[in-house]
Amino acid sequence: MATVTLSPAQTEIQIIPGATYIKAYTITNNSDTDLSFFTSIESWVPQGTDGNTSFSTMLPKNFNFSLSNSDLNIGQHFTILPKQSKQIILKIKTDPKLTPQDYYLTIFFNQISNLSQNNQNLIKIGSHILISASTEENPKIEASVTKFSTSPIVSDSFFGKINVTGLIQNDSSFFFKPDAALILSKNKTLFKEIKVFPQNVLPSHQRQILCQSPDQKPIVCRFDKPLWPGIYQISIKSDKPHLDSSITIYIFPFSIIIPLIIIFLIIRKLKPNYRLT
Amino acid sequence: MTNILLFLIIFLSFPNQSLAQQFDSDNYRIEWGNFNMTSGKKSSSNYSLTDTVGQNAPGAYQRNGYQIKSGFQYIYDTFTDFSFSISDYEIDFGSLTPDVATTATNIITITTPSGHGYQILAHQNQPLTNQSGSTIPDTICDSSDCSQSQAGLWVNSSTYGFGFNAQGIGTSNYFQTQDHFRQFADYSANPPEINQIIMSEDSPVTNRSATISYKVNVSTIQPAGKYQNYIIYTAVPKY
Repeated sequence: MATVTLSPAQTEIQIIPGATYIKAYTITNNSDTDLSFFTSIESWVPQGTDGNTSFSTMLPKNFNFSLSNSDLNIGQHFTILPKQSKQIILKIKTDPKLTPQDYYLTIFFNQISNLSQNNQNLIKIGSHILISASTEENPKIEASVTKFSTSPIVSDSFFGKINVTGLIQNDSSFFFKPDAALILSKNKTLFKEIKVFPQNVLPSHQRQILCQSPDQKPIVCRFDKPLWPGIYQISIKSDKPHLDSSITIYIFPFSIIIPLIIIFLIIRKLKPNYRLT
Repeated sequence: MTNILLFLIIFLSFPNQSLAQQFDSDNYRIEWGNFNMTSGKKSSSNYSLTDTVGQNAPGAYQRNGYQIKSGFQYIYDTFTDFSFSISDYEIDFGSLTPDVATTATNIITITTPSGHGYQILAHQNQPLTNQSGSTIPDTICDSSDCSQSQAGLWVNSSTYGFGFNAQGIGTSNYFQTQDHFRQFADYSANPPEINQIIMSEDSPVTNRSATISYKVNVSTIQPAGKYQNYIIYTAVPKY
């Protein structure tokens, strides 16, 4: 069995072109046998709208990657004994000519096959590095909401929940985390509010909207249905960046009204016609 | 009554000394702004509780793209590292009988820290290859409809090749049933095939496992020999 732990899982930094950044990683071998690795750096782009990535070995220009470990370079093999950890110090040096924009990288720890152990399965574990290269302290962020919808739009008061889906589109050059909320309201009176989970939304890409559970995990956005029938609005609100989108839903007690109508019609049909003479 | 009043006047006239919690050394003094009265992990037969009593401004705060999780309760978030394991990294099919599919399994397990889902990708360094250079090709499944990115049904004993299936929470988007198989993305191909996601979730998980089933079936004309390759599992968090 091979078990590996890596910390941290992700780093997000803002850097001025020309600056150098140093980050320490701890890789732990929790197995009962020696494990050998080498480090590598790969770039990636987002794939889809739910946080998946597609990797490439082509690295962006004007970056220089090295290790500050006295006994290691990137690509050099090292061995970690069972239940031991090793600290790897990554140094990222940027050129002053670096174009101000985002760069997405991952540092990988690639397991090397050990012939004495006859292993055919190997582990490659990575930690993301999201870099915003900018000369401004607070780069301008612009975003919009697309495909904001709910299902169903017309629903019964008593059964089911209101599911809300949508995408946040980043129209700027740097990634951001939305500070937003989904609001269920009626006649501009707040009924319920759910915080949007602050996932990274990368430039020129979309990220699906998820909500934040009480224990701060991402969950599907879902409202309990209000019992009082009527016309409600579901909207997403955020000040920075400005997000504003709204949909109207209709909630009625169909599960009560329809049976009553059916019963009324049956009674009316069965009731004999009396004619006064 | 007069005695009580006099006592209170005298008592309240003396200045009280307030003692804050602090730590001293020869060179440093750390002054704490609050008392921590109790903290830690407690449990009963039905419940487990972590608490910190006596804390200034605890909670999660967010503004302008920055987040702060303030308070000792959030320290538990930092205890969960990003972890990945393979239960058995030696997959030995043994001697293969033509037209009889052979399977072997192992288990992959992942744990992610607070706020991060995960994705697991898989690829092979080359097809199953013997010392003479002969290969067992990747399966194309019963209807010739599976690839490294698309699973297909493989139950027919006259369908040959090498493929895999993954079963567990997080794999259902990639493998419909336990009889749906895929090829591994082949890095030796020209151009190299793209590493493929085989398991993913949006939420943080603890010890989330999936069973990987490796399947191989050879024809009577497959050259004899010992075939081998490496399967590399890539584990990364969702950004």
